[in-house]
Amino acid sequence: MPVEFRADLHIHTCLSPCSELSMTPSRIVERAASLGINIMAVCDHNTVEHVEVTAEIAKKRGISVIAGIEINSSEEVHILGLFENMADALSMQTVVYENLPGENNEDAFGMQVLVNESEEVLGFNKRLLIGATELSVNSIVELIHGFNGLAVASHIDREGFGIIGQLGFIPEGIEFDALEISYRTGRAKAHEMFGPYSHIPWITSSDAHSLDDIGRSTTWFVMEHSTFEEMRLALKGTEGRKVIF
Amino acid sequence: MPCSEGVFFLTGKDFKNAGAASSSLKGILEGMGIPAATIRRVAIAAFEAEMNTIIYAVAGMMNYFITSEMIKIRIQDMGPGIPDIDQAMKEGYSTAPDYIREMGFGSGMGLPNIKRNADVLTVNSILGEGTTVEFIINLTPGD
Amino acid sequence: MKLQEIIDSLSLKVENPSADLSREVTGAYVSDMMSDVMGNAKDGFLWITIQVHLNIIAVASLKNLSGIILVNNRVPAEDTLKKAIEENIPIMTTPLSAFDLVGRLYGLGLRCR
Repeated sequence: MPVEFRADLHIHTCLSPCSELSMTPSRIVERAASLGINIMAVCDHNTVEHVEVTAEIAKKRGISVIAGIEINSSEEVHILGLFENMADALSMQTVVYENLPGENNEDAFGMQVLVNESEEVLGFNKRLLIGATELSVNSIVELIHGFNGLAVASHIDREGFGIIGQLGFIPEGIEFDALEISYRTGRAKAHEMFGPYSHIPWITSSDAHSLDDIGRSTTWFVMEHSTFEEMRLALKGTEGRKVIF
Repeated sequence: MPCSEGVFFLTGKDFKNAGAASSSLKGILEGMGIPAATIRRVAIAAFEAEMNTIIYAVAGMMNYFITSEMIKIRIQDMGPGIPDIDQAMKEGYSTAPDYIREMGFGSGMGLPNIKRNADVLTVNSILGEGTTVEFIINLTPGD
Repeated sequence: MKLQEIIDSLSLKVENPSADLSREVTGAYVSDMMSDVMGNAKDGFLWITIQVHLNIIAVASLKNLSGIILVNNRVPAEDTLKKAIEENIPIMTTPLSAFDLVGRLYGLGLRCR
């Protein structure tokens, strides 16, 4: 029989330039743990380099970590890719890196720090992670599916970088597995604003860029255990699993 | 009674702290004025679930939710998972290694003890991933 | 029957004398398996066992037992004693075997309520 798990599927780390430096893997796990979050997705801009270390730390707290990435499309639309394992996530990262021009400017955008579980600095990511890739929304969703992942349109209620804000609508034919409503919009308002898109599952997450943001919005997944495959079923709403927005 | 929730963390093979979560939970329930008989049931079920995680799993998280109607406890662990849940529910069936049995654990009474003390018990497991045990103990109105 | 009465009558050695020895004893249970005690011992019972590890205190505390008697000259482990003092669970020891000890408890008139 399925039970409820609390998930925050959009958390950044200090690797994202716009995040606080305090967002180290160990601290974000501690924060999520203190809030009783069962599933976390680490979604940095255009990179997955902090996923593995976060997953290892989280395991000791009984938290499942989903390998995620927030890809910035050529149209400046943010899309979350959620993957079953590191191999698939790394494959996605390879394609993203190949299509991501530019170098980071720390003064303008912030630092992109890579750390280990003891918070020791391993280096700085030189790429322009905040930049737009040369990949269209269509290509990104296809690629994510090609790597067996789930494609989620980030914070559709947000003007900047949300698909509806950037394109005016969600193009037909793009198969998102879920739409993310950010913490900014409540349920009632969301239904008012996005009624036409309610045939696609909705989730909400924190889009945390600082430790206090974590868990400010979470989604209940009703399923057997906290695995990626179960989450897939829950989003589809099949076999007794479901998502409570 | 207001709804209350919290979380405890369980580390595999951490026998030094075994029972700490259930003890803390018992203290919390006592502070809320919940009847002693109900607390006894929660204590037994929580202890057995906690010990299962410590004895067999890598690590786990125990979430508890207390409302005016019920006490719900869910433990999600990170593996190894239970191959045959029906078998695991049988009294006396145990996969415990010797050093566990020498300590008096692994008698195969854990899950049956939870079942006997809870109103609803759910055990889900995915081999290689982990196990989720959730049980609910109902509160009668006026508690 | 009060715990102190039993301690005196059977010459039990109390390892943590600061614990509450005035408790009413409502019965006794003999077992070396944790889940067995969790499932069957009742509030106020004395627990007779040879297990000396730390976890016996958690069990005794959760089940609200009146005390633990270690038989066959077993002594509590160091951390067990520390925990017993913290949790106020009386630990007593005796050279008697479980059979002899329990026989004498029964002889004192102790019955399970």
